[in-house]
Amino acid sequence: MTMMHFNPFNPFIYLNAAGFGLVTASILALCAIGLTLQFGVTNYINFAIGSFLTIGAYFAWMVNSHGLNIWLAMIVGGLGTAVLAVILNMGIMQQFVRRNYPVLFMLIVMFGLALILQNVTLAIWGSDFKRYTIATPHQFNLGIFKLTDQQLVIIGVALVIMLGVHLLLTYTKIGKAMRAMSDNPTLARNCGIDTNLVTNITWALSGFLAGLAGVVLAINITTIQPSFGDDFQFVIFAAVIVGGIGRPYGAIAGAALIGIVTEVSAALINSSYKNDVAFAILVLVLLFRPQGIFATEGKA
Amino acid sequence: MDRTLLYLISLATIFFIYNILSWGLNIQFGMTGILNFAYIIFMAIGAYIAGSFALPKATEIAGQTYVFGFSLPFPIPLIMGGIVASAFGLLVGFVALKRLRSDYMAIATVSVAAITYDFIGNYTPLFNGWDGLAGVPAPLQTALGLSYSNYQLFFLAVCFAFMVFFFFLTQRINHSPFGRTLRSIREDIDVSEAFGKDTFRYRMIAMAIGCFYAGVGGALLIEYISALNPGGWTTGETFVLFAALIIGGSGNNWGVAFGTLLVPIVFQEATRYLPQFPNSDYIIPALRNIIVGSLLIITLWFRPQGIFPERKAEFPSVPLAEPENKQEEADVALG
Amino acid sequence: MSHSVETPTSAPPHSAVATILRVDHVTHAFGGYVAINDCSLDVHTGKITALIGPNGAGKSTLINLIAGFYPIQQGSITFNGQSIGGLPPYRIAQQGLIRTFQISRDYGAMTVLENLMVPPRNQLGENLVNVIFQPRKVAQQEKELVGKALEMLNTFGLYEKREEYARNLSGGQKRLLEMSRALMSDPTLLLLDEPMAGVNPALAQRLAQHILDLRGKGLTVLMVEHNLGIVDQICEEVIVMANGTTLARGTMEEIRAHPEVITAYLGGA
Repeated sequence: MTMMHFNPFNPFIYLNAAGFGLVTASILALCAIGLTLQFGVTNYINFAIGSFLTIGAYFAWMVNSHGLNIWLAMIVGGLGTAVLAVILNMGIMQQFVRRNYPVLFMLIVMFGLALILQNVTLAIWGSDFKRYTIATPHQFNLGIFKLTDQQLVIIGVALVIMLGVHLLLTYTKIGKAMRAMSDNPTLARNCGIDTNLVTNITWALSGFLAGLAGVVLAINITTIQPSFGDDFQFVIFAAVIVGGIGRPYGAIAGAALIGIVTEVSAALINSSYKNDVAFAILVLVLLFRPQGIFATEGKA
Repeated sequence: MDRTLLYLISLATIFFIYNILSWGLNIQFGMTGILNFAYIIFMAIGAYIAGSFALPKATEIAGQTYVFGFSLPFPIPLIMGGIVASAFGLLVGFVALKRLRSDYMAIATVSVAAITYDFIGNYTPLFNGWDGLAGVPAPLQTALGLSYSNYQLFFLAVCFAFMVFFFFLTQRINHSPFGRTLRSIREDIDVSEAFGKDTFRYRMIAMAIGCFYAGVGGALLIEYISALNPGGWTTGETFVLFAALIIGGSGNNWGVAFGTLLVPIVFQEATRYLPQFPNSDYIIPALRNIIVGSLLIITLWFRPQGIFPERKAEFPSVPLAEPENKQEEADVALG
Repeated sequence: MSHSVETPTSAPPHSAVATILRVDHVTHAFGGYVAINDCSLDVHTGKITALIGPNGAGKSTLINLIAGFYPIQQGSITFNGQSIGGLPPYRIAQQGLIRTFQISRDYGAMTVLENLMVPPRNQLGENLVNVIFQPRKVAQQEKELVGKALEMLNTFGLYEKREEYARNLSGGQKRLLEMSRALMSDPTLLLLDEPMAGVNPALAQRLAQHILDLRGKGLTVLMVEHNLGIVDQICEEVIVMANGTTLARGTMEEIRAHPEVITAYLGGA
């Protein structure tokens, strides 16, 4: 860690913040990987990603409040959101894509969908705070970091997912098809790739990861309410843009950067400016390196 | 004056103000193809600037903290509201319009909206945080010394005058070569760039003009209802304006006015009187947003050009110097 | 890299032709793929020059580089003696270098006539101040431009279609629209990117005749074209590209006899 030079007085505060940063980065990476894959494959961004997080968290809360273990509930939250994503894709997005709507219209459709989902969430689950039934966290001293067992599991989940996505993209036919569609959709279609199927699977994966991210986010901040995913939304966008659109490895790097920088800045300045720091990074990247800071040649 | 009449006057006033807002968005989205998901933020900035310029020093009113407090007379606060909103629009445009991808534009503006909302809400010294500004003086009320109902009529006339001014301005822009270039940028920005149009500059101008409309509209709104807090300018409100535009017919100023009458006025007002659910006051607004969102998606699906589509451009008729060339058309028909 | 004054492909020393466009040792890579590799060529004033070559030779990339749509990475491009490398597309177009696109790109939701009203440069009414304070002058200029646009549509046989939305035109009509629209900007050098792609032979002949007429009016044309019959018919100079660089230059007759060109085309390079 090279955070030492941030503060000559007490480096341990920042090291500890960097530890929280790893947790935030893990949550961010989970949904940013899915979002960037879907963005690359479909060529329009999912403005409802924040609602996907929220809905995943509520799905998990429903089964968790009936006694299911939180980590199993997390899987349920992910799967539920995946199903929702596929239904929305087939019922709405694909219908518009089939009619060759320009990207501008697709973005409005997504924006409208986000508004609908936010309010459906509000109407169903109400505006009060919900909490998971979960064991009291234990804090571990890991040399320089202080993290709870739950936070360690979150980091572990993210690592497993990253490995899984890596294997998927490298070794499976479907993963290669996703990459092909992201690089050149017309060519992919001409090569006999079933683009409809690939799009659906991408949405399912993206929904699943967003659902998982929503649950672990709720575990990390301990409460759920209808706008909590949306408050996180543009931090996810920042990670995706920093990493370069359609680039899952870039998204991981972007998530790491945004996660750690925001948490360290929270320790350095004030935690209420966390989002502003993410925003500042987003603006700088849009201005100076729109293809992403880790990509050599992006889709910009 | 009876209550029904006063109620209708208040609806008409709001309608006139909202038309200005919708036409500003129409210049950005309908004419130029700029996707500004932060549009309502510029309305709020215009309102806050106008409000804080019209209010007296913050120390004189208990319980409110805000900057400025110049006690300036109408219409200076309103003009300042428009100008500051416009300047902020240029700032946002500089980031959002630098790149051609419309999703960057959307991401940048959505993020701006979220950040500004949080900032104005959390940073109380600026515009009194989540409680917002209240007690903004009604323009010229004391100077004119009118009765309540006559003053309502007077303010209606003021808003009508502003609306007419902005209508003619929008129409003038729409039918000018400038408006034509904006439309060409909406249709295909690369081609316009290849014809020597400085597309970034044009889009920045469209951004500034649209945000000026938003600022003036916001200023009129706060001067009319005398108060505004962040609850009045959530992202959903931007969406209401997009819905008005698309349902009415983006690109067509009359259609946009019709959409404005339909969505923000009739629909919002109609749902206001629905029975409230006990202990769940969030249900009605939530349903309203769900319906507005669905209406918009349905319109995009069945009639993307809106109820009143954009009209074909009209040109003066100029006779041909040579006889009409019909020979070519036979070949062209083959093409 | 050396910057020689005389590029390898420049005109023979004895001829008196002037050079309107000079591409000098330009290289452009996408990521690791080098699309244009140390490419140099000259376009002579008042001539119709064809740019031919097998698919993937870099012709369209070069057009995009000249018109400023891709940033220039190495080398220089001069137009009318001024360096235009690194300028944004609109600045290059403002100097009179106008391009068309490989796929017809009409302003679909605008009428045919309105499509032609966009390109004219220096329109008073494009400045809002004039729109508001000098409406008469703006209207006067607008009327002149409408007259010019209608004449242009008549020449290209699109007069009847003037009130039609551009998106409703047939493929061939869109080609005519693309060319007539580009001419409305009064170019001095016109870059045509495959103007005959996908049109029937009769229409190709019409377009060829239009291009010849343009030269008669003093315009210089650089066109990417695959139809070698048309190239033979109207182009005085032919530049062959392969593998991102120029391979040969001459008349179509000379090119046909060029051994390297035959290899490039037939050898599938």
